[in-house]
Amino acid sequence: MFTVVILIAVVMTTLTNGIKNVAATDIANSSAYDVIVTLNGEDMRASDLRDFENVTGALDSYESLWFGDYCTGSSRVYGIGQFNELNEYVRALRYDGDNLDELLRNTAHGIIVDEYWARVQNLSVGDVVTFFADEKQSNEIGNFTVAGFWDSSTGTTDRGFVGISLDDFQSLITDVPDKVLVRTSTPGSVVQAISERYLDTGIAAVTTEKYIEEQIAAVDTMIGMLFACVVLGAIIIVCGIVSNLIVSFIGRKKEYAVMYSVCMSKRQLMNMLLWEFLFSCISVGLVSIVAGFALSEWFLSKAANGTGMVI
Amino acid sequence: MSSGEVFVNGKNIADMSDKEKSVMRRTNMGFVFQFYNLVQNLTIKENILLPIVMDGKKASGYEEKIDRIFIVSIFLSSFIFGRA
Repeated sequence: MFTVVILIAVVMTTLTNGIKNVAATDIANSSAYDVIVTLNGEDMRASDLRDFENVTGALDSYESLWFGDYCTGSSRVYGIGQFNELNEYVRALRYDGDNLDELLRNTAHGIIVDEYWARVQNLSVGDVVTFFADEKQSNEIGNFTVAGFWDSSTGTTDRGFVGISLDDFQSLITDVPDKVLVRTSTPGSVVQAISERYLDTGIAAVTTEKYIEEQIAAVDTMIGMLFACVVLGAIIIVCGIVSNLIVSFIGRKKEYAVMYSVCMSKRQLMNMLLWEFLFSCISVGLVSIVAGFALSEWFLSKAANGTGMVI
Repeated sequence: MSSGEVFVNGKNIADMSDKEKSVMRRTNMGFVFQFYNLVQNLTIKENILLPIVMDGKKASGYEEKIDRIFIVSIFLSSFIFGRA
């Protein structure tokens, strides 16, 4: 029982800390902006924010959530006008080809997908994938041709970053950006100023720091649910082990009685049991700690790979 | 038995401590159980050596003696039952 508790505690602690740290680092490293302004359909542009005090840069971010038939979950689709400009703000996107903007412009309904899903689904350049507006995949957006691959391993937990040309984005979805990403030395005061100016609109501004905290809170909730499942499993395991121990003790009662009647005093018998207990606890405890760390490393990398992250 | 006293080697066992009683059992008494009562995790030899070891003596001094008992036992059983 002691061993199982140690094993589970070590595995869970390493896993939860690992997932939280990876998520926090990934989100922080991939976001090279200080304030996110979500437009919620309001007609506003980055140029409207450049006159704010301490704002050093702003970018219209054309984003939308689609559901592709080639991957699980949603894909964050970016309309790309100038990749270099977008990449300065969203550092999670890494492309090592020549000219992404030209590639997307020259490929009819061309998209660039993450190399992780390309590897998993054995996708090649020229393959056609279908995108839908809903998770049930009933509302089809259209068929798209894979024009190339990029790596978004640090920016998302599902590796669902997809790039299409800005022209395609604007003709298929909307010509209004989804967000405006802002760079500033004073995020708090900029958020306050935006909130005051756009008080009666659906525009919402939040600092990147706050956004990351919210994302980590979501990760915490997920970990909490995972933990609850593991604790439930552990309780069942512990009940099984206690039952085995009781049966084993009852089985050995006769042995203790023989030892006591033939040669042992009560103290010697108690000492023997104590040493047996200590030896089992220490030896198996040590094995559990080592196995716990090894298993959790293995689980962490497997879990991360399963969701597209690279650890 | 509702009353009386039991003396072993001139000592009343009611006056003995638990330790003294266990020493008395392992040094002055032999046990023949009605049923098969061995410690299952130990070999026959280790079962026989157990009281000796518990008495603080070294098992090595007694192993040869036990081996000889085994040989005699095997000889007797083959003599009585026709097989070892």
